[in-house]
Amino acid sequence: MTPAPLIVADALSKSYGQSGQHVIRALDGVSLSVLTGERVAVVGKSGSGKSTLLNLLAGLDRPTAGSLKIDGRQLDRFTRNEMARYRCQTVGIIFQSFQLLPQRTALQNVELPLMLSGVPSRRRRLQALEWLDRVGLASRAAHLPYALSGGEQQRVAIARALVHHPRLLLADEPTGNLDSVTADQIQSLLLDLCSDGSVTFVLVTHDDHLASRCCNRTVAMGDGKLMEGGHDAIL
Amino acid sequence: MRFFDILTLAAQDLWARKLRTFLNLTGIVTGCTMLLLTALGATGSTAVLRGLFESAEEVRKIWIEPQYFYAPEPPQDAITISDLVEADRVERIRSEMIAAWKGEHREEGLDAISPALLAQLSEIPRVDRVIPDVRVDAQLTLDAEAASSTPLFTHIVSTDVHSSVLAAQLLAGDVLDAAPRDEVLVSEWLAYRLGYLSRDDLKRLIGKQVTLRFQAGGRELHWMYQFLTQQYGTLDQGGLAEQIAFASAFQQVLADLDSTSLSSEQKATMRNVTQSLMTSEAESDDTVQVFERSFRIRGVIHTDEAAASPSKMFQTWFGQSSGDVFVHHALASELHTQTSPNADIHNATVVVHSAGDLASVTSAIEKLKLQAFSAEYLWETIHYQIERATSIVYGLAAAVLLTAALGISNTLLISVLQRTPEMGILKSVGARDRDILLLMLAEGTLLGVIGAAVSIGIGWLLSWVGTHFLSLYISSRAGETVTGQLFQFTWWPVLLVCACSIFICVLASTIPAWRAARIDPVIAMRRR
Repeated sequence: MTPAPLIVADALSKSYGQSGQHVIRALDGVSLSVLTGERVAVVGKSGSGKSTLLNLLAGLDRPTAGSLKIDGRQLDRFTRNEMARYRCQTVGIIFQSFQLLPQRTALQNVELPLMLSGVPSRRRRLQALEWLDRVGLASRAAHLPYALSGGEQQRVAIARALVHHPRLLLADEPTGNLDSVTADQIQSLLLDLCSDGSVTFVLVTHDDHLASRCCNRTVAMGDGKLMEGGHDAIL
Repeated sequence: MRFFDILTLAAQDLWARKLRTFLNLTGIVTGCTMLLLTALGATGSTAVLRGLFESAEEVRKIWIEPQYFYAPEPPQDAITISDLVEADRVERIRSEMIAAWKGEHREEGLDAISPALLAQLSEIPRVDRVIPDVRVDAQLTLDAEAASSTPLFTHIVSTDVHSSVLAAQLLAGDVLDAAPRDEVLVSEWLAYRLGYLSRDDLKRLIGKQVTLRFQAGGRELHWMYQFLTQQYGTLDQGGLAEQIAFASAFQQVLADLDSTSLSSEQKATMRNVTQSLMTSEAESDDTVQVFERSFRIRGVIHTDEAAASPSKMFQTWFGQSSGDVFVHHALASELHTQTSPNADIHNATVVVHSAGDLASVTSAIEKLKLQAFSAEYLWETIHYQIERATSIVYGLAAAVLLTAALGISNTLLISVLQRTPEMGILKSVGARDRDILLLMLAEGTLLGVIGAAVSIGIGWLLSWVGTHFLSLYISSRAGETVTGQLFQFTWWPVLLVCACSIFICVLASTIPAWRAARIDPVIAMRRR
């Protein structure tokens, strides 16, 4: 039985700038379908629109045209509150630059999505510790981000992205700021965490190796559009 | 997000940015402490001054005299002002209108206070006692030295034997008993004139007998003499001659009354007065009756009532009492009756139970067509000055608070700008606009609560120091013993400070909070 699609993007466009001025079309009529549990890599050069696509999928931004359905719900019509709830409950996001709160410990950073969902403190602490343990950072729970290495910070970010059991995990160049050894560790970790099919994984990267290792499908982007002919033709 | 989590996050943010928190708190604490001290000081000093005022016996006295002319209050329709007069001029016009109406409706009042009126005064509620102000002249001779000394001309005055000030005036012997006896107090000046100079001499004077020689009858120019001696104290023969010359000139004026510009009513009044005087003189038989009475000296006092008063702050209300021999007021009244054509007097002192009764008793006295002078206006002036000073300091505190609010708003706004990426991260993991708004407002509220708590602590400390310092200062400079708290720590200034501190901080956080809540997460995170 074929799983149902979790993401259905139809002619999705995103432009920046007001009409009459210089308008940048970051995304231009992208149609994409991602099945539940699928691991999809979106590859492309810098400025190809892949991060814009990820922002739309994450509910951090809104499309200027087209429609975007996540789990059957029309994301582009969500109110600000519904969008926040979507980010809080359905999505986990891993950023290239980690995006950890500098004044909070690793544990507190991991707890954030649970705190925003209203999970009682004792329960969320246990869950956050469990996830820090899974990413191998239980001993660094009380450390502030500046005291952690880049790889460790990204592990904390991964734990934060997954602690609330999202249905969709989005990663934007997760190894972009890391050295090759650490990047390899992060790749292994992501593969390990996403391979059981419990979470749908969309990875945005220009690293072909990362894409092929972590994902079972790759789509390529260029000039804000999905490219025909597979990723090899693009990269 | 749960309320407790919002508060925790807000507290963690404040703690993480200690310098910013400290600077914000400095502003709010300065303003709130000023506000608190002002409120505590206003409450406490008013109560303390009120206490000092009420504890001063002098201020419980009302000095009364006949109201020689009397005008009732005008009816409302007599002082109705045209609608054409602008509102800001109405009160001035009304005041002139009332004065004019009273001038036209002036009635003859009283020219003396009769014993019946004194009895009426005693029956006014909240009146403790009524002391008639009686002054009788007599020649005094110390019995032991009667043969060798010249009689001294003395003023005998009535004394309030219940006055606590009298006891403080005592230099030797004891004060008079509550019941009238043939005992007197003499002034230290009289003792000096009698040759009793040192304190030991004054002690020797106690128990000695004096004879007072009174003169009754001989009413020619009696009222004038009485009036003049009341006005100028002792009057020598030369002075008396001058006044008689003046009276003669006055009589000449009366004779030429028709040629003056006075109104017919005024002329009639003057003729009546003159007629009365002439009749009095004509009826007087010029027979002088002399009688003597012996008294025992019970004590020697000085006459500086102000210095004897326990209240230095209000000591100027009643000045020095002039007199040589002080007798029980009942005895003085008896002597007055024996030496005067009737028992009427011209002044009296009404003592009320507490300073709070002054207004009501004064009003009741005025209804008896008597003029009343009390220290009530003193308290009103003091109270007005306290209120005025307080409102100025309140204004200063409000200015400081406003400045603090601007400072807080400014630093919170800068903080929001600095933390824009953090707001973006919070939003990226699911924070709603409301969560961010509440988070920033919670920071403001916590600042307010901490500011209020610190202000109350500092305010309490400063008020404690201030109370002790000011009490010592007042004791040393003004001679008053302050028994109450000059900075009275009551609940309402504390509540006021809490409310002001929290309100100002929340108000100052509102714009930064609103701005933070509306931040677009993608743009916010790009600023990192």
